[in-house]
Formats: sequence, structure tokens, C-alpha cells
Amino acid sequence: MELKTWLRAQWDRVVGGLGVTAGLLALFLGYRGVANTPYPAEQIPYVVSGAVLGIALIGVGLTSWLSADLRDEWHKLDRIERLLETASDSTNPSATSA
Amino acid sequence: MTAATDSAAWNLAGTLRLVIVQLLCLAAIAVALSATANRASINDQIVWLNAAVGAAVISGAANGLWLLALRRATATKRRAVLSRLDDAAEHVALAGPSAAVDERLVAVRGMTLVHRAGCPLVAGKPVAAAAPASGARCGWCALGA
Repeated sequence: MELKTWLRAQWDRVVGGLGVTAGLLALFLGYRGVANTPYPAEQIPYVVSGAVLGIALIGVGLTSWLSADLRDEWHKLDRIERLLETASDSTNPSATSA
Repeated sequence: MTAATDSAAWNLAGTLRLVIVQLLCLAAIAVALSATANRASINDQIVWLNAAVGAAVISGAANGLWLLALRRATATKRRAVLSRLDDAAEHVALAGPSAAVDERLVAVRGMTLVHRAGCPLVAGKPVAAAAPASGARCGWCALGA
């Protein structure tokens, strides 16, 4: 499968992976920023950009990934339901005429 | 997420609503970051830090509600499938004794399996009489053999 097609089909997992990676990176950079200065007034911006933004990005990424998993499960169940419906119609023709 | 068969949980409006809420929350955090970086007083910074934490909490709540809605949609679909499977199993169980009586072997033209005439897998299909050696036995109707 071409990369472009794969990216289009799995865009929510791509967003999930990017979100979690960016969040972890923000947490790491925030930690380094806080650790490198003794002044609370200089640490707070790192707390906002590192901890708060990092956690929010990780949340967005995980949500996107879980959403993709749930969507796939829903589609598989939908396919099974339609197959069962078709099988039921073919084995019980009276059900379709009713 | 654009398939016509998607449930209400995956509709475009719901997805857009979530994306807008997330963008607003990330924008609020970015504004708070800028505000804290431009202020030297901790008292002034704490206000913006609280605003950033609030935006993160709203973002998390929106994500949680979204996942709950999707989980509910999936659970509803799973129940529907299980209900259909239950009906199908009941149908096969009811048809079982009569199917077992019919010991004639048949095969669907172009297919490789040999079925009993009463097998539900060949019901409604054009079948022809078959010899036992003319193909592999169907696993479904051979279960009761």
C-alpha cells in the first residue's frame, strides 16, 4: 500500500502517534526547562508548556488512537451483522416477503 | 469516518465539534503559556497557569465524553450482532433434527464441499446430487453425522 493511501486510511492513528510523541517531547523539554532554572517565575512557563500542554497532547493522541480502534471494531461488527442478515434472508425467504 | 454506514457517533458534526473543542483548548494553553512567559510576578502567572490547567481539564473531559459515545455505539452494535447470532443459532438448532433426517448428499455447482440436503448453508441454492467422494464434507452439517 502506498504511503499516501495508508496515511489517508489511518489518519486517526497517525494523529494519535504524533500527538503522543509531541506530548512526551513537551514533557521532556518542560522538565529540562524547569530543572535548569532555580526561579519559580521562570519555571512556571515551562510547567504550562511542558506539563499542561504535554498532558493535553498525550490525551488528544490517545483519544484519536482509541477512537480508531473503536471505529474498526464497529465496522467489523457492522459487516458481521450484514452478513448474518444476508444469510438469514437466504435461508429464510419467508422473512424477506413478510 | 465518512462512510455512509457509520453510526451517529462517527458523524461529521460530532467529529468537528470535538476537533473545535480540542483546538480551542490548545489555543487557550498557548495563550496561557505566552502570558506566563511575559509576566515576572508569580501571582500574575498563577492565574494563567490555572487557566491552562482548566483548558487541559476541559480537553480531557471532551475526549472522555467522545470515547464514551464511541464505546456506547460499539456496545450497541455488538449487542445487535449477538442477538442476530442467537436467532441464527436457534434457527439452526430448530432445523437440526429435520436436516439430520435428510441424508442425501448434495453439492452446489462450482463449489468443493459436499453437504447434506438439509444443510442451512445450501438452503435456497441450486444443488445437485453428489457422491461422498466427490468433495470434502461440509463441517457444519457433518457435525451431527
